[in-house]
Amino acid sequence: MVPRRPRSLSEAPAGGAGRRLVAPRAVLGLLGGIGAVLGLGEPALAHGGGPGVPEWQQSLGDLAVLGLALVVALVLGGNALAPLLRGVPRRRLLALSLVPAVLLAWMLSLLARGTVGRVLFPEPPPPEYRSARAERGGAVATAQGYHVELSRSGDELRLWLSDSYRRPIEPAHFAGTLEVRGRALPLEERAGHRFARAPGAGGEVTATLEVPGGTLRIRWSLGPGGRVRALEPFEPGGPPPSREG
Amino acid sequence: MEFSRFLASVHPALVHFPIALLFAAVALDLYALARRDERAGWAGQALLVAGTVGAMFSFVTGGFAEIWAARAYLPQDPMEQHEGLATLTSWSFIGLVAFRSFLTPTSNPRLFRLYLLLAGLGLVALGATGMQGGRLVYEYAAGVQGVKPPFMATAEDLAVLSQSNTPDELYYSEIMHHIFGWMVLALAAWLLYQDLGLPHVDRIRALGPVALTAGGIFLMIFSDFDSWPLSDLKPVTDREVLAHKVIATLMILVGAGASLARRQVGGQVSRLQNHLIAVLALAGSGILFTHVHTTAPYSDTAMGVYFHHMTLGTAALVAGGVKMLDLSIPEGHRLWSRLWIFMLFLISALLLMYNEGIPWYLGGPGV
Repeated sequence: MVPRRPRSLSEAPAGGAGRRLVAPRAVLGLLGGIGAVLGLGEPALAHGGGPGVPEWQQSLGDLAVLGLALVVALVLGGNALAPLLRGVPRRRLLALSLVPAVLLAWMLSLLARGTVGRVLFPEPPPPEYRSARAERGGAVATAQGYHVELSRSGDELRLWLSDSYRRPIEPAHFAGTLEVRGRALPLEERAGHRFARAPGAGGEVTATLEVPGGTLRIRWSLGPGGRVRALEPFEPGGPPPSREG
Repeated sequence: MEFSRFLASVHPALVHFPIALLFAAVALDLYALARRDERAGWAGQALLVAGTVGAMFSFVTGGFAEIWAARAYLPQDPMEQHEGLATLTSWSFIGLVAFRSFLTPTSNPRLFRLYLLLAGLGLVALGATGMQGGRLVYEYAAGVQGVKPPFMATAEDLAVLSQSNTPDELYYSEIMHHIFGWMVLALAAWLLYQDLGLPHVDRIRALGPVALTAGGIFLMIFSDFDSWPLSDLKPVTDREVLAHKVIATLMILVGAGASLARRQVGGQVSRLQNHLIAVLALAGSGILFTHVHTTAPYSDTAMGVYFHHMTLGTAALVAGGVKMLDLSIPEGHRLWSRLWIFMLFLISALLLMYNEGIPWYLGGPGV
């Protein structure tokens, strides 16, 4: 007898005595889950993935995404593995499920800690938060939540802007001038920072920066030997620094 | 770029679909339960699916709107709140669609009541999302032309705007997409081989679980290049890393289990598994539509990723729809089966041509 072509992918050829195969659908389902996992790789986390407490709405969103994906994966996988467990004695079944149950509980606790836990129990800010550490050999001052570092290289005065966590801000997002000996020099754009040429500059230098939220004014003192010192490193009345540079 | 602006401008129009359809869906299901009306139940389920699909397209166009609003120096916190609520809403309804697909108003009233309770909570999330979206326009002037926004970007917002991906990150992401493109291509070819009833189909069928196990091992090692075992920069308990390792473990276990199970006499595949595959395709498309680029979220790379994911998500949605049709109209099984395979070939092609940036079909550099 010539076997009929199987009607569906799960049906064995006619000679198989009605045996059906777990393989095709399990494979289909789990490979379909691969696409889910690739998307899981970056769920809707806090934008920029940086420090700071995420919004509670984001954490709930994360929990929904990760939780549902976990449920679907477990249900699919469990259904695929179910034939293996048919006929296994109850006591043995309970013993077998103990390890995955513990693993699952641990995973769920990590999930909770990584989402709503971050909102309910926020971590302290990292050491970079409001830090006066000079990263480019200059001097750092803060104003309105920004860190501004001014350094001197020969005749050039260079200025770097970053946020309260010292994450850099591209020069395209701010503009301004450096006032040196009564002259306002425009700050030109270069990769990662702005600069102005001020040959023989000394004494007090004032940066006036236009940012989307307003105007920043910061003062430095230029000393001999290329030394730069911030005159008001931290804006008065603001939160204290986490660590001095 | 202009196309992305267009998609951003379409967001306020598209949001009406999930709002109207999902409320109507739940109302119809409520009526169906009260009056034991199967027709109302069918209509409710149809509207639920349509509303959820609408939510997905609303989400992805919202991603474009967010990029352009952030580049106009609007503060990012309120946008993130809106996005978080939209994620909660979208995923709640994806889960509800899956749950609802197993229910009718008359078969299991207790479970149906549970579904309605959860759907009600989903509607609360939907309402909160809409309210926050309205605040973005009325209080923050998001998308309003010719006015200076009352609140501007903070230092942290500018730092996020300044972020970009390193070439290593971009290359790694592209490679992973291409590798899985080859895997999906192999899967599609494997299915086509069986569907055509070619020689030694029984042996070929056995390759599936083996490939699954191999894919799981690959994912376990290479899913995150900045985490164990390739680096110790990120711990394995990080939630992104953990999610990858969980699925990798599951792939290995199920692949090995499937290989063992197929040797058992009477090892059966349930109709439930077929149903779950359709659900998984829907979940996969949902993930693609709601995927948010967390590193450098406002870069051109992020914009390109949204284009790619919208295309892939639509393909996955169609694939899931085909599987659902296979379940509900089994007479057309041969057609649905071939369509499913075709969609997998299409998805594999999209993955193989994936690039981290504007897609080639929109004028980007391509692979």
